[in-house]
Amino acid sequence: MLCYIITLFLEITFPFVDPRANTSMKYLKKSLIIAALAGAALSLQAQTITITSPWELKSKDPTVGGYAFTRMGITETLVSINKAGGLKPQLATDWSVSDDKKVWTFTLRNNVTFSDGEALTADAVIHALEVAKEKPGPLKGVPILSMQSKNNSVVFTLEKPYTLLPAALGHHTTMILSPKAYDKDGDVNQVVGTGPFNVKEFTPPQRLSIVKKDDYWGEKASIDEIEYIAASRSVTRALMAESKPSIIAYSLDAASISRLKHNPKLDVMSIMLPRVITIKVNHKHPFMQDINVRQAMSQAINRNGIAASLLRSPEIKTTQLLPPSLSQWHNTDLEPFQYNADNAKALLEKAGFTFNGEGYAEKDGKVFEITMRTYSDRPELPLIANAIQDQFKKIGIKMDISIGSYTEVPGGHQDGTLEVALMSRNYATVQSPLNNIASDFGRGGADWGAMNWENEAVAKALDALKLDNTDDAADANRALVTRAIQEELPVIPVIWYKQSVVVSKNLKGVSLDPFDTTYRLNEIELVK
Amino acid sequence: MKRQTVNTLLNILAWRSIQAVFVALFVGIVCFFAAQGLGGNMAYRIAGGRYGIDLMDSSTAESVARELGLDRSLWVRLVEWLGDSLTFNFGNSLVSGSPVIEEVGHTLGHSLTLAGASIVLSVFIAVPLGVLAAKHPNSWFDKTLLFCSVSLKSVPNFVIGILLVMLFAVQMKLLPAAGHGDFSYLILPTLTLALGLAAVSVQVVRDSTLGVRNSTYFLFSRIKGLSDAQTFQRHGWRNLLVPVVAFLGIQFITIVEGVVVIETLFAWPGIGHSLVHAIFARDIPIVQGAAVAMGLIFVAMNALVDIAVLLLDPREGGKS
Repeated sequence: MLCYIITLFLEITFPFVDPRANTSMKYLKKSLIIAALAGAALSLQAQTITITSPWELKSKDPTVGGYAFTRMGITETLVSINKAGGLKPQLATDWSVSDDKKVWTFTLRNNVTFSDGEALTADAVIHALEVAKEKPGPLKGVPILSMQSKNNSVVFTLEKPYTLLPAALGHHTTMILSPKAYDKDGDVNQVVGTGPFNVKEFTPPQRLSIVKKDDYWGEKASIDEIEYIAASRSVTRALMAESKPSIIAYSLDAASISRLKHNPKLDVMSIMLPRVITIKVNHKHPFMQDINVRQAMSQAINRNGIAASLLRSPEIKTTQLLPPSLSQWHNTDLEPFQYNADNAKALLEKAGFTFNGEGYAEKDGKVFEITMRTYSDRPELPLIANAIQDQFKKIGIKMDISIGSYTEVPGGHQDGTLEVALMSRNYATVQSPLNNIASDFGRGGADWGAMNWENEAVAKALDALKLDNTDDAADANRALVTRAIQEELPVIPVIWYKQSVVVSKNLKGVSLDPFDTTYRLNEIELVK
Repeated sequence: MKRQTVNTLLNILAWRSIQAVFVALFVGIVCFFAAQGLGGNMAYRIAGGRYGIDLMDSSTAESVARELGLDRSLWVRLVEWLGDSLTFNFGNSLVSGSPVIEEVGHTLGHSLTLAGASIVLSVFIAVPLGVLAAKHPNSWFDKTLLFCSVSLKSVPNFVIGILLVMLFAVQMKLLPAAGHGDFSYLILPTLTLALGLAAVSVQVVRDSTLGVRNSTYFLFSRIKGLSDAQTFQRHGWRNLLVPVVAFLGIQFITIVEGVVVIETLFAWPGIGHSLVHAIFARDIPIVQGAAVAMGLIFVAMNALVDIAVLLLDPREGGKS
């Protein structure tokens, strides 16, 4: 490194000196260049690939920091997600359910060992899941009566049928760690998993380095060593992408993407995630309990403008709650959301509003004035909130924006003080959106879902789907739910979410997971 | 070393040790109450910091409140903290669950490394240039240096950082843009900070040197017949360094405590960055640990500056 700098310095200064006049300097320069080249060759040999994303590493606990370990291929779950977005076997080779749908049997893969040499057994799996069941995560919501080992299988006996069990067993909080990874209180001491990589160095909050595991049961990794760097600023990740020889940089902002598109060494990949930016609406609010008002608010939003101008991706404007990538839950029969400010004003008039001298809507002597809560953890939210504020003003709704912690959204739901909130909701924390749709739009609503809105038909359809989402009635039930959400607007969808990733061209085999659960690092190769 | 000097040294150490104990207690208690006084529901904030946006909701917040006993009275929790601290048990982070001493140690170590390296580099830049400028005050060199100082200081630190990254990482591919690991990762953030620090300290060195050069003892030494270099060697360095050392102490504290922007730009795991996160997540043990550690460093730095000044100028010690 130092040699490089000295050589560079000499290169800059020496054109002003006649080289023939000073032969010793010439030799010095030559030897320095050789040393610099040798240094460069050495550094090429030790090349590692880098992954960077804004998500900081927090802890070894699967519920707190586990997503990083499954994404990086250190730990695995019983079930995983294939490239088409469906479930695929991982540590379980197959699974079946009894006729009464209450007993599930998961057969485990043979000859799998943890990185500490322990074999994967049904008892090890049950131990890991017992710990996970007590902590926050999708497994907590599963009505499990018991888990038992039988030959090389794990048998789950449920209180009542629960169709989402395999999906829940694909969530990172249900990762299977070696029994020796836990201390006596069930806390994780070491991350000992079955994945294609082992932890080399774990230095939270910002760095993790991993090395490939030679005795992995599946497709072995080709890259020896990978480092993960959490960099919270998008500009840092963009600069890293431009300077590192082999990198995958996740979650870049629109401005950086349009600049990096022109870099000949980088490719830009993107994928729709099951994440939607929606407006949570308090249906007990004296004005917004009227369906005409919610329709007016929805029609006042210029989704195309926000998607195309603000976020530079016209395709992410919502036409309904969930994007086409979640095909089961994307209802093509629905009429897409329309932007029509004049009609929105007409709807407000229909709801009994008049417009005062300043142009604001009024009813019973009260101006239509609301506060929108949002947060900056997702940097686009405050920007979108500003755009909506402006668009609402055009139809006479006076909206203030309060930017704070995202915990104010569930907090406001619980104490009833929330009016509207702009939030980013992941509808598929597990492989199927049903889990979150059912909690968000089922009876009683949810912190990140409907607030004081209930629709008995929707609740019944969701209950039926939770018992069985594969029978003949399932399609009709899903259609009923999506239509009710589109028409009654328990939440107002604004923007779908696209993950943009910048990848060095010398990396082959990079693929993006629509559920963001894995980086599939063992499939990546470094080419010249 | 004279006996009086040794006595003064011991006095400094004794006084600063007592001060350290009081600072630690005071800062720890103030942090505890300040964190309680922050808005928002504490259990919600901790659950948010722990489980992230997709897993956090009111039920996880409730389980956090139960687990941590947040409904117990303030006084019980404060007394518990005090008792634990006396046995050097600083508790665990409410977010990650790892020991405070480990987490604060990791980030504080990185902050101290960065701050130390930056100060050292800034001294290597500022002292020769400042001394040279004072030798010929109001010369073109002195004026250019002043111009550079003002321009560097008027540009925000992170802009200098981005420019350096563009040059050394993106264009020349010599140094890593961000992260931490081997020595190469330290160079760019250090240079960024050192340039900002040197921009000010070079003027302090220059003014201090000029004061020495214009003094009567300096003139007297020249009249005695010593050369400029000899005079500077004997009477210059010690005298000019006294205010400079005190100023460097202040600069060091400022950068240990306040370089969050540079830390985030370079993805450097410093204490400023982790303190901000801890405050958002109401991770009180980490906030207390980090604040107490910074308070102690403040005291230690003052002690070091006192000692350095005493060694440079032992007359005070002699008098007392």
